[in-house]
Amino acid sequence: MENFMNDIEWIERYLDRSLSPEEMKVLEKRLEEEPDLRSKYQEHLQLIQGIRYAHLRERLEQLKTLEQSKLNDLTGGEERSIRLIPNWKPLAAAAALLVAVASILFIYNRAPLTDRLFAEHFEPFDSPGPGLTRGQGEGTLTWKQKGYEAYDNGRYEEAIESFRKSQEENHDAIVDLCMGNSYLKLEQYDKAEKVFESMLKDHDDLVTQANWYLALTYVKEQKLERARATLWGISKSSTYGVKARKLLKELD
Amino acid sequence: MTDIEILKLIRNNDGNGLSVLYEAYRSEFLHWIRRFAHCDQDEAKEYYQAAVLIVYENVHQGTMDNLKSSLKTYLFGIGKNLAWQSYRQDIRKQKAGAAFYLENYITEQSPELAQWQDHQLDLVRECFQLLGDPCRTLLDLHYFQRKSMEEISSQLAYKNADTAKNQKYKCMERLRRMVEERTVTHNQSE
Repeated sequence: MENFMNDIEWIERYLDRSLSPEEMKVLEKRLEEEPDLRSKYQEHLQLIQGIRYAHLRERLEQLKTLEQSKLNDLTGGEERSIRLIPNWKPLAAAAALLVAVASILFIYNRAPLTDRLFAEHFEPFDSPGPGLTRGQGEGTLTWKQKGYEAYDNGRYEEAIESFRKSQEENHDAIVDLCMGNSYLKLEQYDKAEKVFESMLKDHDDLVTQANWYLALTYVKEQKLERARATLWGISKSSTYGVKARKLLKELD
Repeated sequence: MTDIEILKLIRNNDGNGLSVLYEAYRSEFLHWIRRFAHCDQDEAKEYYQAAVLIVYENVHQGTMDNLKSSLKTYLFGIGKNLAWQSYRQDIRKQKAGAAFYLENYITEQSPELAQWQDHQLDLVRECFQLLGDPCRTLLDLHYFQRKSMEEISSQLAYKNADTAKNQKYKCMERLRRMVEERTVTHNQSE
């Protein structure tokens, strides 16, 4: 048993590439000269590959189930392939016409749906407010405080300007979040998207909040796959999980 | 969600990681591969599922730690290779699915196993499924998720890493015997 374990340990280290060059040479020479060891090596490798394959097949089932559930989605219609049958041309032409009409109806109906979902779920992030310190007059507000004051009073363009200047001095996740929200209020969704996406790259703070508002932005922009993926990511969060799951359900 | 966050979810074995990755590029990939490989939607999905799982495996094997391109480029690159491979091997006619692409992907990584018998990989998989716990979990943690013996001993509450290592050898030995027995039975029945 001990010899067997020793050999297997060598084989595993060989596969992990953790043998020294000298040890590697020794093992490779042994593998050439000892048929028993060679078959032990191949057998072991087979088992490891089989274990990896088993894991992947299990996950494949998960993806198949996910895909199956999509057939019931709103977008299910586009997924089904057309099976060609004899005398298919008139049917194909009719189908194409039907698809075109359905697509137009789908797009017209879809836009208000995403607009409605956005309107129902979008509540601007509460800023911390300007929070004047004792003795600080309004004339001495920092850019960040000026931004929060403008944001709280619905002057979003002014808020964005102040937030930009504030970020030049000192980067802050809350400021980014309020800036993204300002763009959403101004209906500049592409800019909001950029702010939230770069926020997720640059900050470890307020990640869930950023993901929530990014998902809403995607909904508004009708980038529904991205919206779903982003919502999935926060669906177990303690703060936004319920909202995310609700919106996911509504998107389906 | 950013690429880094998706990869982090998978690496941390978050149950949502794979679904998030799958959803993230699904539409774009299906649209693209249908044009690239001239295939239908069902075939496109098979390519996508295999490509996503190869990325997923690479994350666990640590081969994506220094990813230079975007996740999307990497994923689409795998899809492209799968499609080329199908084209070269002329397996499209057989309507090969994701399971077949994954099997190919695994066996191609081990040229040493040139005499790999047909269905041998499936045989090992079946035996592994019959193995039961804790062996299944332990072997999966070590060989798929690349966890160290220290991590495994703490996760599965073994006394120490050596105990976990001994248990791993015993489990591998059990698996080996099961495969051996079934191979004999399989060969006798042919």
